[in-house]
Amino acid sequence: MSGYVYQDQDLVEPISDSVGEQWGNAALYNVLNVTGGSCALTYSASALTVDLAAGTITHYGSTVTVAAAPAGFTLVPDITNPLWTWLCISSTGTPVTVTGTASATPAVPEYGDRVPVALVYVQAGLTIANDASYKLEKRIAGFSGFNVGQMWAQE
Amino acid sequence: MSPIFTNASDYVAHRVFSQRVDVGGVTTWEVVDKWATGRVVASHDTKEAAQEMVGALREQRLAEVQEAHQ
Repeated sequence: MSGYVYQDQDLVEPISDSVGEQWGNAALYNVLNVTGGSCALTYSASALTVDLAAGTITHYGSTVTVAAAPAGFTLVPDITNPLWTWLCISSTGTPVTVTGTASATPAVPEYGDRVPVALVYVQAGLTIANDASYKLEKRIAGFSGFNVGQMWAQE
Repeated sequence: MSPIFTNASDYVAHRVFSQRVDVGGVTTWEVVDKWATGRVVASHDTKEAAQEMVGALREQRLAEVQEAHQ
């Protein structure tokens, strides 16, 4: 697989450059069959973990099968400041949590060469994943499917 | 939510930073430089090593920003 990877102009939050890059790279990096529940997330109501459902992604143009990963993600809150966290899937279908630096105005981290599934705003001292202030889930469907879903849905 | 940068240091700090990466119980620390192509410029085993690199990069970028605005 070869091609050009789009990189957006750097922006500030909450509409970060990373969000724009998802649009630009939607043909190469996406989740297939979103409306069928592929790679759906379930936020724990008692802990900082997030379950990942089985599914299929496109990583840099290649189709990758994702196995279900209960508690595949763990949020890592800071004591005094909020932060942004990407919940991603690697090129091998493994859950990857990318936790940004905590700050009064935190920067959105870079999800890198991974498929982003959700961007979570983790407020200071968070103890329950489902209580996170913002859970912005990527809901774009792959172009090999028919469902062009809603890209971002705030829960 | 959007930060308003009142000085160059804050601006640079928002563009050069470290981030924690957790995969299968293994934690590493990436260094991000928004001026660099690809942006994730290094990966370290420890937070301290990443922060040391971030500190050096911020000094470099801050000098460049200040020079560009002189």
